[in-house]
Amino acid sequence: MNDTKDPYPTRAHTQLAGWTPTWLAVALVIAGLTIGSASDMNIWISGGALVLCTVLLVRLVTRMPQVASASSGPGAPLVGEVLPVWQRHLESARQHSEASVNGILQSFGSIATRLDQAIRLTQDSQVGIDHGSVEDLVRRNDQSLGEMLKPMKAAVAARDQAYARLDGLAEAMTELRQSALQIKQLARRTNMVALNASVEASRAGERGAGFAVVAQEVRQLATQSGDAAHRMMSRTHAIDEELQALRNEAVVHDSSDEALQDQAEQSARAVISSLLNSLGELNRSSRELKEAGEAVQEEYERVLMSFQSQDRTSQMLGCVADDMTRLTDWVREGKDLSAAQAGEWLARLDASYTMEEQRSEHHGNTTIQRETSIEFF
Amino acid sequence: MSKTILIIDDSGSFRQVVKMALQKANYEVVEAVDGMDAVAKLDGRKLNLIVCDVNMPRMDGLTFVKHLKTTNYKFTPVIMLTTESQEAKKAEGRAAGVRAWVTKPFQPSQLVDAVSKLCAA
Repeated sequence: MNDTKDPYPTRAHTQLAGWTPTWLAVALVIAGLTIGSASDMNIWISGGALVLCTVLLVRLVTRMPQVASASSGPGAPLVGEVLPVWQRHLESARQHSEASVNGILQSFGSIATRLDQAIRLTQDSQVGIDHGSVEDLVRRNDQSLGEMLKPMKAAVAARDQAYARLDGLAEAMTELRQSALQIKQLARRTNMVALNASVEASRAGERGAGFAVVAQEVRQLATQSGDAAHRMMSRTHAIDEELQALRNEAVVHDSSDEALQDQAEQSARAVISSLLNSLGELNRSSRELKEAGEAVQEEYERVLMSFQSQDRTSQMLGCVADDMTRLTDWVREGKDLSAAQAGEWLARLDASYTMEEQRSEHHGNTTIQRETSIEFF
Repeated sequence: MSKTILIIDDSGSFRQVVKMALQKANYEVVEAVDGMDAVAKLDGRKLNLIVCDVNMPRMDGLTFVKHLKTTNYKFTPVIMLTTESQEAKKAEGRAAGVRAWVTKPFQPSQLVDAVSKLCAA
């Protein structure tokens, strides 16, 4: 309010009526064009335009007394024409500013809601992880792995039992081969005895003819027994070779199965370990996101607090606009402003305030920064 | 089932701020631009609480509260949320049946606490 410092109210009027409303209009157009969409960039453009609007409005209002001082003189008709224009700009700025803030708020609300949903989702997933700690998961998975490998171990044990029976069979075959050898030896000795009997029967002449026939039959039986024993030995030998081959294979399978079993167990443990590490990472990220979410929540509160300044600014400007209306009416009615009682005028203005800040500013005191006050009745 | 709050304020941006704070706390919100508009919203719908400004065009907040007490909504708790800090106005509000007086700017979490407390009462 430095009406005494500027000796040229007409120049002040020219500046205000010319440049300030023009720049004000430009700022309002920018704000108006950007509030329609909900991108982050537009929020900042709108915010910047609003700041510009506020600065220009403050400038407009602070220049008021310079022009008003001219209204009692020859410049009064000019003031009567200019003041309504200023009022319209002021009201338009107020409305545009409010519309812009509404647009920003809606965009901010949308961003905040989406962020909130994302944070809630991560918190839900973290609840799942928390219920089973990583250590607990390791223990449970170890048990599961043991259960998973049980059938494989049982199959290997059954195969080992079968191989053990093969060993028993090989022993029986050895005994069988020895028996066949004994039969072969007996057949050879029986054959010799029968041969001797034939010789003795020949010596006996006619009387030994019957005995010679018996001896011949015994020789044939001995020969047949020897052949059977020989075939049995050949067969047992072949079976022995097959059994030996099977036992050799069993030894190879036994070592390779153990290696495969170890490899399967190691692979399963590696997969589980990797999975658990990923879960641990996810858990850590989730915790960090939760902390970030809490920080965002605090910022959200602060932003909502800041947005309330729009309403306060609007009320302050509204109060000034109302007083400008009174001044306009006064000038239109042709009243001499110099005759107006400044004290009365200011008292009426003071009574129209609703905020402590307005009263403080009116009386030139420091603006009070108040905390939220809630009073229950 | 979420509770419904009627917000009465002539400032669109301020209604939006209150709405965002309450919706975040899972309240349903109905808006009115002044006392007259709010009277039209008293149409039989379920309202668990009313958050009302004091200084508004057409019908101010305290006149609305006085009118409210003559309707079926007379037991609906009212919180005045206003820049008005004069003790005389607060006394008038208390006499009219207002349950809490919150001075702007408000902290969203504190308003939600107050709403929750009065809705539960």
